[in-house]
Amino acid sequence: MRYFAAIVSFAVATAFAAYAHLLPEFLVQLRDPNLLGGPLFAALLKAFGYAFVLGLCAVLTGAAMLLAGYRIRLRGAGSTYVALAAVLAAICITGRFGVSLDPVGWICAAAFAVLLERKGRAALAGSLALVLMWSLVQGGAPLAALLALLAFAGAWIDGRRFDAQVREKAIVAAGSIVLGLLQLHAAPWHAYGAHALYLDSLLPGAQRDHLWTGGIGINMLGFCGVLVAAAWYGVRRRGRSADALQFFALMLLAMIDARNLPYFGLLAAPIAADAAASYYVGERAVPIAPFMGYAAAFAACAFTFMATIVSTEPKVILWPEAAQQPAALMQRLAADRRAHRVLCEQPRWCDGAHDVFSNLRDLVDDRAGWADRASLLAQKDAVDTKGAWRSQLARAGVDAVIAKSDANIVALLTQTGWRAERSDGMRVLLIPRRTQ
Amino acid sequence: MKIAIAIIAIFCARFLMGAWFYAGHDGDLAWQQWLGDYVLHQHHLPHHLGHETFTAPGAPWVPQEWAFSVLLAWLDAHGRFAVLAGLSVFAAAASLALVAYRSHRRGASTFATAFVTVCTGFAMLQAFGVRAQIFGWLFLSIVLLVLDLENEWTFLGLLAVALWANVHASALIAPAVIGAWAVGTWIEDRAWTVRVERNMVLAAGSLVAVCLTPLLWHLPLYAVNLETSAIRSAIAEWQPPDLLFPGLSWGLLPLIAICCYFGIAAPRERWRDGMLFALAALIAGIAVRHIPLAAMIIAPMAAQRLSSSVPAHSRINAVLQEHVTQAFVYVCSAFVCGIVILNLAHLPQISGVTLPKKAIVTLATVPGTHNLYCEDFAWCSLALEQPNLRTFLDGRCDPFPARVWKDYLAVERVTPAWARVLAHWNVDSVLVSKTNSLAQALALQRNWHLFYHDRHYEIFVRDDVQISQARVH
Amino acid sequence: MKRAASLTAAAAYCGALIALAVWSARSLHGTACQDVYFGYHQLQARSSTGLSLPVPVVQMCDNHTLPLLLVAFALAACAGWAIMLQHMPRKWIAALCACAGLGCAIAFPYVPSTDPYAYALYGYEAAHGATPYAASHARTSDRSRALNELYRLFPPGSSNRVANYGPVAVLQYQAVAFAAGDSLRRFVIFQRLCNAALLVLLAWLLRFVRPPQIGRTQAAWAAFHPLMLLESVAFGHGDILMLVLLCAALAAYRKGLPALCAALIVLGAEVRLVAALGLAVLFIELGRRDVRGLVRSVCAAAAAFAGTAAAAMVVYGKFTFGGAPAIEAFSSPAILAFDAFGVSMRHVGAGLVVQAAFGLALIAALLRARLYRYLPFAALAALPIMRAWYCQWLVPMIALDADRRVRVAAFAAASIAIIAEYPAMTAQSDAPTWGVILSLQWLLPAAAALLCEWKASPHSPAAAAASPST
Repeated sequence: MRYFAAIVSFAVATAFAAYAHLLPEFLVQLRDPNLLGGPLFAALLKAFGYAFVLGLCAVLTGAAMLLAGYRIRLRGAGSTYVALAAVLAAICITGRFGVSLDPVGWICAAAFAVLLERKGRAALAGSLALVLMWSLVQGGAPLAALLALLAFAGAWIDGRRFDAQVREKAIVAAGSIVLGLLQLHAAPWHAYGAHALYLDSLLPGAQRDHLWTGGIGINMLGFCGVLVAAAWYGVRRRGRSADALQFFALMLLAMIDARNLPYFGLLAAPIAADAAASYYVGERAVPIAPFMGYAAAFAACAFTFMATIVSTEPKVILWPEAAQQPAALMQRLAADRRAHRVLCEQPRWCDGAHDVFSNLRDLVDDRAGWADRASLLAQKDAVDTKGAWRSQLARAGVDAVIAKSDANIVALLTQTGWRAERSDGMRVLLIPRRTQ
Repeated sequence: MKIAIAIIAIFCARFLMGAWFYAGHDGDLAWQQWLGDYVLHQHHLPHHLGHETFTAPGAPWVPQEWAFSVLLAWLDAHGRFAVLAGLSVFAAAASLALVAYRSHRRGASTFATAFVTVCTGFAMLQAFGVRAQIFGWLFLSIVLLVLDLENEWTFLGLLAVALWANVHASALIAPAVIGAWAVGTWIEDRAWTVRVERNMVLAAGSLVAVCLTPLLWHLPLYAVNLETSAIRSAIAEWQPPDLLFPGLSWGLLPLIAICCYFGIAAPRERWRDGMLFALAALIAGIAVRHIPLAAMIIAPMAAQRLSSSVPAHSRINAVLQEHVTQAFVYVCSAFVCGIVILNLAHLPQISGVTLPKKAIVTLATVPGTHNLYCEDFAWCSLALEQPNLRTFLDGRCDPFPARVWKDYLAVERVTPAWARVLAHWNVDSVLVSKTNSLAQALALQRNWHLFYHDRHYEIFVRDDVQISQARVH
Repeated sequence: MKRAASLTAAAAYCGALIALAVWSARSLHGTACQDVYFGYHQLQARSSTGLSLPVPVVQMCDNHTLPLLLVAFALAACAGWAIMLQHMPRKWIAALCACAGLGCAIAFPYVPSTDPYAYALYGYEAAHGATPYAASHARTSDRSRALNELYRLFPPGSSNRVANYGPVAVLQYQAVAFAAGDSLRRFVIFQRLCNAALLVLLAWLLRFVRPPQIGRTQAAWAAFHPLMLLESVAFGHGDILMLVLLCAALAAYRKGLPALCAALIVLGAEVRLVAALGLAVLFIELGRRDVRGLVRSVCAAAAAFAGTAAAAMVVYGKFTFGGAPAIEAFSSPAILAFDAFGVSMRHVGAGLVVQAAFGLALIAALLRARLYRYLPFAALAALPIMRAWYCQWLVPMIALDADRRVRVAAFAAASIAIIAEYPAMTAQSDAPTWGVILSLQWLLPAAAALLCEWKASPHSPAAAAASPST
């Protein structure tokens, strides 16, 4: 069992690399002027090719899982429970495989959780530095702020008084909150960040990934796995209020939008595993080797892993679109070089449309928090074909619709003067008949 | 328990109002009554669809709710639908009461028992109706109780499962529940003890008990097929839950949170609870119809653990056990019951009729036989009693073949092929909701015209349908 | 370290309030609000206005930034305030922070409800000789421009046309209207200044009525909780006057002047009726210890009541403690529960009766058990509506109560209360939104208090985790 967590991590990284496509949000993140991660990834793509970036994402994912396991090792639990945490986290992450900035967020979240449990000024400084870097690169400061705030609240509840340890947590929380606030999408520099914990998915018409999609899916298994492990042993078991607060907050976030599930897996699974360990571990023992030793070993493995991938894949800058994205339809629409406003039945289909094709503007894309209320309502009503959806579309200036071939809006529009311009087998592009 | 009883009374009042006027809201009662009438007259179960449908006459049918349907038909024929409504309320109330009792048996405090009762009640609220599965809730509660008892009465659970199987196919969950319990006790005892053997025998027996119906092994096969059937995507109750679903957020989620916080299974004392929790967490994520079941399974565990934080000797429990407090709670409960009953009895959404009964009856007056498509297949159940109407797909839903379902969904979702499907099946009348897409699509079709409309529904008929006079209501 | 912490907290407190004021002012541009008045079943909902008023009313607007900023910065300021309370800096630093907070509140760019203008309406009507207790136009030949504007803002049938407060509150508004002349902008500013002065007075009074284990500066600092600054000063709500009168009454009681105490409580009840609970507490305590004092208090209360009633009759033509309490659909547990049961809003009043019954029973039980410290919580629980400014009633408990659980619960409730502004500002007044807010509003303080007690107990997991083996 000793290296099982590492094996799981390697398996996840390999699976990630095998699942070679990019997530739609990547198109948005790549060109977000407020996130360094976007230009950084763009530079890496140009310099080293898609395979390198894919491998990097896989390595970051594996590292995030190892950090999650390391967190529980630092609490003195044995390898079995580290492995348990790794397996649970792996299942939760699986649904979000694909090249994007998410792995950056995952590793930052896992590292931040480790640092939050450390004491001392070094940990304090490291936490704040990490949040700053995270906010600049991937935009996950709102999540960091939440974690830090809950850690502070937990420490204060446990300590009952404002001692040195609580003060440190307060400083981290304050710093993270400031950075988190600045990350919100209407802040001075208009960063969108990590969707503000994907709370914008609750807006009507917004893109929302449901945790439960019918049947037994991988997301559901991951979520249930962590839930069952926690329920069997109890998150209060170790007497850390911060654990309970973080567990339930992340659980709610995962239920709001499944894109939060990897964070739930990485951050809550160690809590559940630690609770399990507390029943069966007689004496706790922290790891002997220093962190830098582990880091060096990991770096060596990561280098080898990435070298293998890069050497076996041709260097390409163009990346494979996810099959779920209507790239061909967008290309067809943009080909006439006229300005178009497009409604996508799934808002994420419109991700990056404007960034890639400057003459296309979406009605609503993944960043629902930026869309105005009228656009969101038009999106919702049009997709549901309820209310005055036609006039709402006209008012919004929508002259192109991308929807699934069997969606009701397709039939209703084609009956009233729209035509199917092109289909990619799954979706169809509709434009008004008068448009040539 | 007394506080819990006052809470159950409030839920009873709500259930009663829902049940009393249920016939006006759920089309399924129509086909169930039709089935019951058939059984009462023919003295055997139908095994195929008949010519009341034009898309799948002769398709094999497993009428799993036959017992409920017979009871419904008999009571309705004697003008006693209210009795069935009352029985449904009793079943739900008894389920809640058993939750409270099981919590009490586990040593839960008054506050904890009351709290989980409220949560379970909310989990049940949206799924309640005069439906066979409500009786399934009662049977599940009985099975869970006999499992808790762990004595010679445990085998009464087999009787409950057998009865349950005759009422509703959700009985197939019983072997899973008992099996999980048995495995849990095995892990706890770490040996083949007497109780492990008893539980294993019970689990095996339950597998047999679900076959003790006139449908024999067809019932389990049917349930398994349904779990993987594509028709589930068209049935609201089979949709996966969501955080914003009230039954989950106000009912099941607090219970899950309590269990996660306190822990229910470790350290090897209550693995049976842990196994049941795992099962409940899994089934709750599959479909909203499982939320009440999961809540009933989890609630007593949550109550027991919550009592460690709010023990019986705490101030709030002491206050709740005072006579004055209990009297006050009972008075308030009675008052609230009165308000609920008075208000809901006059609320159109509850006491009104939301089914398109008038529309169906109006269509049936048109001479000739008509092939009717209903946007919501449950509405077409109302057409079963009209001899000149044949349904595309009705509330019986399960026996219709996959191709019929595919075509039904193609029209219901207004796919580009919708008009072709209607033409292929020679549908000459379509019942739609006024505000939905299909109504909009039909209004744009030249060969269809509006035959009937009221506040909520419209019927479009094909132009070649002979109508003696225009009937636009 | 303590000094560093207190200085940092002071900076956070001031910084958060200043940032809130500045950022809100900048974000106010481009905010679209509805100019709609509607009745919600038989419940009169508040009207919503745009930005045309001198100090804009941001209510039911399509701008989520403003309420999010309000909540976020208010919480940050609460955190800074709490740390300062634990590690009080020097007095001049605390005073500077208080001044900065007051300044931000006085200059705040908007108000989230039409209440300040409703107060203006009552004040101007009273100042012009009309009764604010009837929905009639002022009987003056030259109505003031301000009054005309207010009559346009509150059309006939508006729930705000008739004053919902006692005569002492109306007197305050009348005085401010008199001072402000014919300018609504001045009225709002002067109202803020008046409330700011009352807040300072409250801080001064709290120094006298604090328990021994709380320092004088700490007790005074409690009054400058961000909720008080925002709701009383910036948003102009009149509860501060009631709190001042109640604290003065407590001070009088401590000084052995029960009659004065009773009279002040009556005056407080004529600002907000809920203050009458203080009379019950006073009479119960005096009945146990000092029957003569009880008699004197009763007489003083009666005299104060009679005097103010007579004066109100003469001046305003009517004496009332205020009309029916406001009701917001879904913002009380009873309404939420009834909505979950499918009961229509027609019978929401009955549901509120049940809630009120529970609330009164709870209050009676607390009075019987002489657990006076929980009365403000019970009063809040009995309300048919949850508004952020009602939680100000809990703020003095932070300075007054020796029980840590009560202080923690009061702090938690007062700090989280600001989220109740969100639905009003964005028209998200539906059941799920209010469900979340009420859950937080009730569960958070309860959880905080329970955790305090639990951590103090010897059987807590913290103690178990500290043991050598699990």
